[in-house]
Amino acid sequence: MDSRLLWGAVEMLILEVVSHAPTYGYEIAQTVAQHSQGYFDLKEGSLYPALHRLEQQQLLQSFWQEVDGRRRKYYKLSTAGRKALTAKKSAWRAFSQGVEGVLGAQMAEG
Amino acid sequence: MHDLLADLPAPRDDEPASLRQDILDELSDHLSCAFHRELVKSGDEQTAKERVLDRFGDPRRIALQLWFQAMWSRIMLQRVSLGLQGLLVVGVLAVAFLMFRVLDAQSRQQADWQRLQAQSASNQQMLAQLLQRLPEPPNFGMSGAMEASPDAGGMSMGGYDAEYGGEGMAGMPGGMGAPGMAGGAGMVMGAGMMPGGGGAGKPQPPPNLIVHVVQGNDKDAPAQGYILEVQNENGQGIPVALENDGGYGGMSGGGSGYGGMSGGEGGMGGMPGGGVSGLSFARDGRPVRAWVDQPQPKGTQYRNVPPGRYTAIVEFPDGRVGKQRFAVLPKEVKTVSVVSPPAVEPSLVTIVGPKLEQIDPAFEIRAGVTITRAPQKLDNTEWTVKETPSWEVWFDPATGQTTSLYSPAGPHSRDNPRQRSLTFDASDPPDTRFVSLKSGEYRVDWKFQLVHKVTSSSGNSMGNVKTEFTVDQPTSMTFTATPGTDTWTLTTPEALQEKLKTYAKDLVPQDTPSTPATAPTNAEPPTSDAKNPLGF
Repeated sequence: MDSRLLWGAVEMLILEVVSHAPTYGYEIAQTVAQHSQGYFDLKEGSLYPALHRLEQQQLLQSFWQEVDGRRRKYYKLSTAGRKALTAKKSAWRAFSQGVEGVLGAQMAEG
Repeated sequence: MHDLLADLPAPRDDEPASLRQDILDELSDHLSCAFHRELVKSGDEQTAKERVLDRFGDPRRIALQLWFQAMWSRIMLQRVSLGLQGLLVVGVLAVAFLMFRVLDAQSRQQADWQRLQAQSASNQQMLAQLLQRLPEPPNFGMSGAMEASPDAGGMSMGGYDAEYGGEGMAGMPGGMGAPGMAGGAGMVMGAGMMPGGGGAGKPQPPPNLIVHVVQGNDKDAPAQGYILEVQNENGQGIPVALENDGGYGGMSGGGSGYGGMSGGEGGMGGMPGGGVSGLSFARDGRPVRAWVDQPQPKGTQYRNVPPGRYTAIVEFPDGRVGKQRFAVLPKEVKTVSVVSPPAVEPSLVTIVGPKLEQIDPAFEIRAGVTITRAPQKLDNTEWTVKETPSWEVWFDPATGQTTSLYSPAGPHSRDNPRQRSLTFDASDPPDTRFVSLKSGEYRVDWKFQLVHKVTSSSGNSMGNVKTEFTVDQPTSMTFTATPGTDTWTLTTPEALQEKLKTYAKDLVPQDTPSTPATAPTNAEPPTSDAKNPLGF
């Protein structure tokens, strides 16, 4: 998959995963990989810069919790993040429908 | 695990305290979870570790990326701040450099100014020396004290000749401009030494007294190079009008009042140009004496001159002094013309006396003359010449050559230290026997002596007894001394020769002793019935 297209969608996927419940980096990576059935073959480390960027944009909020003697950073969606997720999802669906519409028509003709 | 942070830059002051630990904890948690997952899958730690790193990527690079992400704004802010500080430093340096340049330029200007001042002082000194070299400046109405006044940047001409009423120091303000100064002005007068003011714009009444000084041989030619003063009946000078629409030529007062004068171009590298180049001031600050060094077609003007009797006094450097009395009537605009005689110059006059016939070997009739410079009247102005003392000249009756000179003429006495006397003998060449006069007319009056040569009984000479006498003949003559060298030849008419012999015989005692009872010299001239004025 084209990396530009991929990274445009990654932020939306992260927000979507976080929107269900507060979670942490490893779990987000596992969820995305599991739900995409291995389609998004990302380096797990590359999620963290995206998470921190979303946090700086105040779309995500974070807090720390101690688990098994280790500190773990949890992320949760902020109000602004929820609005942004809704907008991104609408845009993605419109984009997807548009693309699908074009591709579906050509397939029907073919 | 701490190796995750190995690539991070050194801690910064503005870095949050927990930043590194947070990055370490977050990435470590992820790697631990992934390791357990892979360990469960493979059962081999090394394989698990490799798979974790393979899926995660380079943890150090991720840690560095997160650190930069967190510190980006601060780093940029610091860089912008440093840039601004750098610009500020550059700006300050630029301003300092400009200030240095300005100060440097100012210091150079200051040095130039000091150099010009020194040059000005030097010029003033030169001017003073030059003015002192003018013909007889000490007798020029100023007592000779021309002194540079460095503080005032000017020059003051001091002193008033006693003949003119004894005014004190008078100023001739002004400093000599250095060559190349603004406008090429030869002389920039020092404002501040004398009261300024009299400014431009203040309406001045028209002058009611105008004094023209013209040359004697051409009445339409204004004279130049003189000092003019107009005195009232009390001998006080009246002030000169300072602003007369260019009548003063080079005077450009421009509101600077008494001190405001500027010289013209050229002229001894800054000598005053213009018509009136100097003013002397009375003690109350009034400009009363004008030094006029260029012709003034409009004359020298005076304003608000009250009605009364006045005397215009004109003095030239060569010693000519002219005085003209005049009156200013009420509501009258008076114009006075002072006609000046030609300039006087040194004249060395050799006087050849008459050869006289003697009456007795024991007595000798000698002729002499008194030479006096008589006042000269030109129109209404009486002219005299300073430093022209009278002379008394005696001649050898046998050769007519001058034998002795006395100046000033008068009773010869050792008590008169001012009297110069000079005697000649046969060894003195004739061309040394001259009288130093100034060119012009002189009155020459005869006088005579009867000299009795006294001898002892043994025949030795014991000296002479001289008796002066005059004759009742017109004995005054007029001679003119021409510039340079001149010769006056005096002759005695035959009638006078006869009278001389008669008068001399009357003076000779009938019984001549070898030694006179008394031997007075320079006795009073005998009257016609004086038979024995010497008492022997």
